[in-house]
Parts: sequence; C-alpha cells; structure tokens
Amino acid sequence: MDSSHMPRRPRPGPFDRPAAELGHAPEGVGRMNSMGIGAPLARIEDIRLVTGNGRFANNVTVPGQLRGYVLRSPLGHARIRSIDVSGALEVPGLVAVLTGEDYARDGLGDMPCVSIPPTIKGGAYVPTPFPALAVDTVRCVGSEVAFVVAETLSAAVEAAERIVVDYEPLPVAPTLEAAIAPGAPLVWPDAPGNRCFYHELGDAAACDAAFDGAAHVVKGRIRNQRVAGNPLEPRTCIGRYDPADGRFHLTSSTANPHRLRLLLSEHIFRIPAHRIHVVAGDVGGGFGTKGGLYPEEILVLWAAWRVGRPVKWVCERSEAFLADFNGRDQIADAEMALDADGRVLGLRVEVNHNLGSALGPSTAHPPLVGTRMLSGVYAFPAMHVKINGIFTNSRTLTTYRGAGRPEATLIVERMLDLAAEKVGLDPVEIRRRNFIRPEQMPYRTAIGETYDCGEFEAVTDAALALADWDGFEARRRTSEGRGLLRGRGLSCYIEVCATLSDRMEVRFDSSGCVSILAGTFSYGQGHETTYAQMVHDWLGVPLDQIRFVQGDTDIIATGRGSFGSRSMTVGGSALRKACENLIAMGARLASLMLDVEPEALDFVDGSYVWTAGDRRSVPLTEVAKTSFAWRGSAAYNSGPPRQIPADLWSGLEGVGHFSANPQNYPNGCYVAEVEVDPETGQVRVDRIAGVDDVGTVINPLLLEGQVIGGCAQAVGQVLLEAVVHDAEGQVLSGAFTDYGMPRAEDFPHMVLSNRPVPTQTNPLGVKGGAETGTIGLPPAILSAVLDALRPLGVRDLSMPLTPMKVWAAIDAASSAPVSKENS
Amino acid sequence: MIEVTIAVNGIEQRHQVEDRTLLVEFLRDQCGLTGTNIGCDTTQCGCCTVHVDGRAIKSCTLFAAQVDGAEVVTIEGLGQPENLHPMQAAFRRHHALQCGYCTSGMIMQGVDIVRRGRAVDEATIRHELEGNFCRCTGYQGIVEAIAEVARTAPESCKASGDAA
Ligand code: FES
Ligand code: FES
Repeated sequence: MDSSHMPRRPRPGPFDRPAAELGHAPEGVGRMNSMGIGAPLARIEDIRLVTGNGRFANNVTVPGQLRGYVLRSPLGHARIRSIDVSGALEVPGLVAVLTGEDYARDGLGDMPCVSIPPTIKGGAYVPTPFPALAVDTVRCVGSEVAFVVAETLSAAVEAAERIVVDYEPLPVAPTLEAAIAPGAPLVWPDAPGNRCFYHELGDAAACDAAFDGAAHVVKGRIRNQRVAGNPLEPRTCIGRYDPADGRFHLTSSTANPHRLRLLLSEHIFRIPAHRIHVVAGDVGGGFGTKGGLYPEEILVLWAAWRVGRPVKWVCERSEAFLADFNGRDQIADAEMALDADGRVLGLRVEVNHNLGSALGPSTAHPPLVGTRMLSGVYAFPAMHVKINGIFTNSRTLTTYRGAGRPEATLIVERMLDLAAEKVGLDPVEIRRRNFIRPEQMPYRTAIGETYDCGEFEAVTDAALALADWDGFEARRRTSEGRGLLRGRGLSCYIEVCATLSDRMEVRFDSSGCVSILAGTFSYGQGHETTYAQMVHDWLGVPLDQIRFVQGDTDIIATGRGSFGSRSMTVGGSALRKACENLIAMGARLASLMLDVEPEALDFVDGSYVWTAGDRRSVPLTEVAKTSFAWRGSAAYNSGPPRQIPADLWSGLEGVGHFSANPQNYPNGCYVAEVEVDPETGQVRVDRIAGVDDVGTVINPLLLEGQVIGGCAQAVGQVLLEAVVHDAEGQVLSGAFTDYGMPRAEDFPHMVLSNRPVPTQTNPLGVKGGAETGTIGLPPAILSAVLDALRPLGVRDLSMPLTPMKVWAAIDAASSAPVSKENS
Repeated sequence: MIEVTIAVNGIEQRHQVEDRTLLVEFLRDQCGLTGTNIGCDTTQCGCCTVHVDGRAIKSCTLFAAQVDGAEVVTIEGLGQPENLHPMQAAFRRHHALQCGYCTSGMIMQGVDIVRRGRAVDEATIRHELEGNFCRCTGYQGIVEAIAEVARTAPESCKASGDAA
C-alpha cells in the first residue's frame, strides 16, 4: 500500500498537545500496549485540571454581570405576613429585589417533580407548589424568600440584611421521627400524616403465609440518616437574557444541562426549548445532587431578563448546607421469617422516607427505585414492601450517589446479620444458604425485578479471599494486645443501573479528526477518556485526533446526562452504534475509492479492506477527508475517479441511540475490619476489601477510582456524616466545621478487585460501576463495629457511628444488668 | 482601597484592593488566575491552597494586604500543559483527581509536604492532608502520587529560597 496514505505522525510541533499515556495500573491489571478498551489510560481531561485550567462556572465572568444573593428563611415553618423591602432599596449599588409576588405576577411555573410515576399506588400523590421564591409560607430553614440583585456581592448582602420579613411561626416537624409521630404538625394541610404518597411491592398474602410457617422471625428498625452531598464545587450559575436573539442563556455548575433546558422550558418559563441555552463546563462533582433543577437557576435567568443585565449567583459553603437538596433519610421497619436451617422464607419491610418540605425533580426517586432492590442477591420466596413518602420541615430530598440502593442494601444485610445471630449461623454461611444461584438466572425476585446474570457466591468468595477473612483471628488478638476491640463484617450488594435512553454522535472533520458529541454529561467520571478509548478501538483513530464535546445544549442535540451509573452502558452502547453507522456510511465511499462493492469490504484496524480479494484498502481517516473534498470525485491509488453522491460528500458522521431494556445489575461483596477504642468510642476502619462484578471494564484505573471514591462516601456516612436539625428545624450541621467531611486519615488503603460476569443486555457487556462502593460498603462497616462491640453487649447502633454515640452505647451496655434482646 | 503588590508566578501584580479583599480573591479577580478554587467559607477545605514565600497556605485565610511584597506561586505557576510539574504528572498517572475541583490545592499541598520532607509514609501523608478535602477520590491516588514524587523527584518540590 502507498505509505503516503498512512496516518502521518510528524515530530511534535509548537502547537501539539501532550501525548496520551498509560497511568499507574491497578493491581491485577497486566501491562498492555493498547490504549483502547481495557487499558488503564491516564485521563485526557487531567491535563487542564492539574494545571488550573478547569472551566468551572465560577471562572466565568460575563461583561456587565451583576451579583445575586438569596435571602432565605431563618425559620423551619412560618407564614409570611409581609415583606418590607424599602430599606434594601436605599443601598447603593442595589439593582432589584424580587419576591414571590413578583414571581407569581410574571407567571413563572413551579419546580416540578418528575419522579413519581402514574403507576404509584392509588394513582395519586400530594403535589407541592414550589415556586423559586416562597409565597405566603416557608416550610424549611433556607427556603428562598427574596432574590437581591446588585452591582457587587457585598451590596446585595447588605440590601438583603435590610429586608424586613414579618413571619408568623408555625409548628415544626423537622425530622422523619417528628413527622410520623401521632399528632405531628402538618407540613402541608392536604397531606394527613405528612404522607405524600404510598406504594407497595410484592404480595402481602404470600408473605403472611411465609411468616405463619416460620421457625424464626427477626425484627429490626434500620435508620439511614440524612446526609449532604457536598460536592466540593459550590453550586454556581450565571443567567443572561439576550434581546438580540430573544433567548435565555444559562451557565451552570449543573450536572445535567439538557434536563435543565427541558425543565426550564416545559415547567418554568413555558417557552420553546430553543429559546433556552444551557452550558456547563467542568463541574466540580455532583454525586446526584446537582442533576436536577434548583431555584437559583431560575432566579438568575428571570432576574437577568427583568433587569437587562447578566446575573451571577455563587453559593457559599454554609449556604449550601441549607440550599442544596439532601440525600438518604429513611426509617425502615423490617421483619424476616426463616426456616430452622436459616433459609429466608419471607421479608416484610415498611419504609418511611423523608422527602423534605417540597418535591423537587428527583425527590421520589430514592424511595421508589431503591426499594426495588430489597431482595438483594438472595432468593427470598415471599416479600411485601410498603413505602411511605413523608413530608418534613427540612430541605428537599434528592438523589445522592446510590439513591435508595444504599438504603435497601443496609436493610437486607442488617436483617441477615440479625437472622444469623438468631439462628446461630456464621454471617457468611447464612448468606450462602440464601444466594440466588447462577443456574437460577434469569431470576425474578418476589418484588418483580429480573436479574439477568451474576455469580454471587463466587464474587463473595473472591472478596473473602482478598480480605483474608480467615486471618482475622490473628489480627484480632494483635488489636486486643493494644487494648482495642477488633471486628469484621461483610456485605453483599446488587444494584440496578443504566436507566433511560441516550444519543451519541461521532463526526469527522476535514482533517480526519473525529469529535464525540455526548448526550451524557461527565463531572468527574472521565468520559473524555473512556469514550475516546472506545472510539480509538472501534474507528482506529489515534487518541490525539479524538475530541470530546459535551454540556452545551446548542451543540449537543439532546441528552440525558450522567447519573445512576448509566453512561458506560447507555452512552457507550449508543456510541458504539454511532461508530457502526459511521463505518457503514464510510463503506459506501470507500467502495467508490477502491472500486469494490461495499458489502465486500471489511473494516479492520481503522481501514476498509477487501480481505476476500487482493487486500486493497483505504484508512477511514482518508475516507473521511475525501468526504470533504471540494471537488466531488473520489479516487484512491490507481482506481478511476468517481463522482461522490451528495449524501457522502458533506462530511462523515454517525449517530447512535441506545436504551438499556432491561437494565443491568452490578453486584459484589465488601469486607471491612475496624478497631474500636473502648475507652473513647473511637472507630478506625483498618481494612476495606471488595470485589465487584461490573461486567466489561473500559478503563481499570478510572473504575478503581470510582469504586474507591464511592467507598469513601460510604465510610463518611457510616462514621461521620449527618445533617442534624434541632426541634425548631434549625440546621445544626451548617458548615464544614460542624459536618463530618471525611479526610484522608479516615481511610485505610483499600484493596479492590473486579470479577466480571459480562451482561448480554448491552453490546459492550458493561454494568454500572460508579456507585458500587457507596451501596455495598456501608453495611460491612456497621456490621464490623457491632462485631467488635459484641463482647461488651452492644447489639445495635445507628449511623453515624461517632465516638460519642459508640461510647454511650458501650456505657449503656455495661451498666445494663443483662444485655437486652435486640428488637 | 489600598495598593497591593505581589509577585505572582514571577510576575509583579500591582492592584487597588479593598482592605478586606482576600488573597484568593486577589488571585482570581484581580490577576485572573482562576486555577485557585474556593470550596468553603470556613477555611476547612484547602481548595485555595497556594505557596506564599515557598510555603503552602490557604489563600482564603489571608487578606491580600497581609502579603504585600510577598512571592506567591499558584497552580498556574507550577507547570503548564506541555510541561507538567512532576506532582501534576503524578496526580494524572495515579488518577488522583476526578472532578478536579480540589486538585489545585491538593497539588500545592502535596508539593509542600514533599518539600518539608513529610512524605515519609502513607500514614504521615494522610495526616499532612488533614486540611484538604477531596469528595471524589477517597484520597488513595493522591497519597500514592505524593509518595511517588517524594521517591522519584523530591528536588522538584524545593522552593526558590530553599537550600540546595
Ligand atoms: S476555600 Fe480556602 S479553605 Fe476552603
Ligand atoms: S477530585 Fe473532586 S473533590 Fe477532589
């Protein structure tokens, strides 16, 4: 072949970008030459992020921009009698003060809730008006009361301080416990018992029958506390209205620009989507909490339209503790029926989930999706689940990494631990007796979820080996010698991933480089790298000739963002289809160039090859360049020039769509060992090991990072973190000084591995990999702490396991004459 | 308003600022160096860590006026895309960042830990990172990256005033 048509690799020039390189390979990953799927490629996006060139929203300054500041409710529940803004109007630099009355007058819509399906029991729920600025009533501390716009932030703050709001305090039910108590104050008058919705899964009669025949029944109450997502980048948004094109332009730290456009267009401004332009650059984490719509995103656009200048709002960290939507917050009452051998006959669960004071876009997602996973990795023959969505005078609930699945896993695993104790079985053995076996796949659980594949006992054995489960006793004695109690715990989990559809596009430019236009949205997950690895493999284009584009609703036709560990499955599979479509389109042009029928050409290593013939070939990149030819003839090597048909003569591109139906089920097992100081109640996590089955691995370096990061959030929740309210609804955990953010010292070196059972439910065989640690690890740590404290008679603890709480439990157990039966 | 002069990444920056202007605001707003991030309002997170006269310090804890005449190095001054500092390269190799928001501060702190000879073992590095939060990575890659630089390129972390 004529070598002049090979992709040329000139010497590095002055404008060249740093080359792709492999990163530090996680243990168990062999050396490889490829940079494609499976390689521990160092991230492409890191180049800008390690050099301070990140494009975070707060780095954007728009000429003429004003600053916005939100005046928030200082009370947990109150009627607004009046708002007097006259003092604020005198502050120099003030531009506007907007209140809920203005909002209503301008006809803006309410924050929508799009997470309660029509299939909810009874077909109805209690909806909540949720304007971006409160009218009449505030229902939690931090509710938006007024939006102040000024030349500078300090002027806006000063003006806000001069607004006089006359509140009439109302009774407060700030927590789940308070809101479900008999006679609790009502958050919404039309929601008796503070119940927004009720839903059921499973079969009550079958479950009753199972309990009737049980040899053992265990009961437990499992509290999963409220936590704050706390992505390190505080939320930020800049709104601009352009009279020249009549469009609203929003730059936001959102984790889901297209969803934002859709919600703003459909529910808030009620204008065509093309009149709203949303851009998100680099986003500093989100973990689910930045993926919906927030009042401030509405406020900056609306204010910009009203005052005729751009408006920027930047959340302060302490403000974020009031303004960001929270995660978790569930009380579960569970009962498990077992036969004499420890086989589970039935599981009953009733959950009360705290929805907060008003419904946001994703509020009902955690209780409704998480509960689908209450069968865990086990063959529970009968189940009945009741779900209550409960209003409280606290900030709106939203999805936080795992979103209901950590709650479900904690319930299942905690109940099995209680059952093991009751039946007199080892915690590993009781799980072995109840695992769904590979030969039972596909397995339909008693609450209707169908798992396609998984080898739960094998993955558990792998985790036990990795954790040196059997070597525990020696380590326990060593700890004992140092005056410390050592405990171990394990947890098996399964989750469900890859919801909805998505769209990906690959598009060549005239120099033979390819752009990936992603409908998903990466905010730390590393898609710029993983998608490039895929395209590198599938199209044979060198990595430095691949560009990644996301997050601009004017450039990306549509998309659904990244959450619920969906992107490698849905985005990756759509990308694969996009590449296949591109290859098919290119084959027609290659056929003209090579003078061979398109069907006779194979696509091998980035070239079209006539393998059945004389092996003549042309690289895809050359075909792509030809598609841009100014004069429309195609010729290659000695072939005769041919006229290019119009549809092949305006560039080469491919669009792909995918929706995972059915979804996939990542699973695995985590083991934790802890040391507890009985004198202080201090818990130290000494060892964490885990084995996941997330199917095909695209990039082991990035996968490991996702798993470790998830584990870190698990440790945070189990040991340190909690959003705490007082009886009046004040947030006591309102700053980094009061909220237990995990630090480097809170973790051991984690040992993780992967044991893939690729799924047939998508063309890549991948399962979601971004939430496994957050979902799988917490019960193992809780179990390990209780194991350590067993000799002291401590039988139950609720998260977070702060030294104070552990110490108090030790103290209570030692002063009790007989250790009381767990209830 | 007062006039403050700070040598930032070797370039003299002279600006009129308010008395209460923080160093981080001076860097971001006056100098246009937005690589230094703000993650909190209580000096807990370390996103804003820079080097002042060779030492890591949280730039939200100082008024710009307090460091009048000082030499400041920010993440932009440490290395460039085509010429990464060994710590920046190690962060990349060890996947020590995900969203990248804590990263500027982490890297500046990492360089300081190595400079002070405190990257002696994993436990010490973890302790030295006490003032820097990362919500994404679980810190493991960060600890590995700092340990690697301490092993392979400690001299790259010396400040200009340090003895050779
Ligand atoms: S911004 Fe300086 S420590 Fe958080
Ligand atoms: S990489 Fe996101 S906070 Fe550290």
